[in-house]
Amino acid sequence: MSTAPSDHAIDKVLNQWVRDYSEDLFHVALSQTRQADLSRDLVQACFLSAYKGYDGFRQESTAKTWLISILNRGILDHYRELSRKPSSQHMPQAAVDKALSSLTDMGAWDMNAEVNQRKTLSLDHGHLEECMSQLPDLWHFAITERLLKERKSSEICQELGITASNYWQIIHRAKMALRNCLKQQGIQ
Amino acid sequence: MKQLIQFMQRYTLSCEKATLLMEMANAQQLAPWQKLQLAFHKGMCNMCTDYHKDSIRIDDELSSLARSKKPSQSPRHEWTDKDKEALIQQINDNACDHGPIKNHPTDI
Repeated sequence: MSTAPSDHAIDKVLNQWVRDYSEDLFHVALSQTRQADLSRDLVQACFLSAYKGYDGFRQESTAKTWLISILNRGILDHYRELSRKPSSQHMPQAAVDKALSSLTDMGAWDMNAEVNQRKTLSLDHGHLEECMSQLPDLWHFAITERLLKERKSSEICQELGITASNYWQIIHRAKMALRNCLKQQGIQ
Repeated sequence: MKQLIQFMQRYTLSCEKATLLMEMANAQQLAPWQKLQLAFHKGMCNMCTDYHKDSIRIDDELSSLARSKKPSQSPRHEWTDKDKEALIQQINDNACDHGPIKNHPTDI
């Protein structure tokens, strides 16, 4: 008859998993959050959850796959929490102003805006990454999930707990900001 | 004339709204009447037509960026052996009583 592993045995397994997988998990978290300390927190929380939920690990998947699924849930919780914060935090005014700087207050193109005078759009991958890195966290996440991971907008809305209109507003602001940035890069 | 103005007010879009609909159009999320509104607006506005072309190109390039990205192109931050040992220590210290793991301050 099999018995549940002792706490000591679980500690030992977890310690080995930390040695084997924590670096990869850290880079998964870092690629999504872009913040080293936040990624460290998420990896730590992931291993604590793994410890608490060890009995639920059925070994139908590899340990690494199981840990990544726990980590991804943690990352999503982080962005869900961010999307619930006041809009000033996920729609920072300075970023919105910058994104919409090519439009007038009436919502028409501003013919005097410097960015509208520039026709060239630099789509060099280095410039794209540079411009992506300037986006606020939630905008970056929304764009990454939709375009880089090709996920459906309805899934992203559901996971973040935001309305479709809110989601499209985020995508719109992010794309405006990206285009302005890439136009700036185009003449450098 | 009054009817024409009412028609224009009801069915024409600002460029801001039109560009928002373009993002939805890129993901095939527009209702038929929104497609009509957008086509009508683009027919009149070269700047929005340019925006839509740019927007599609940016989408394409971002997808291509995702495909071309190699795992080795990792960010500059590293996860060291020291981080591993600190985490093991935290698991051994905290996990037995299921207490909270001490957090690092987050990056700004």
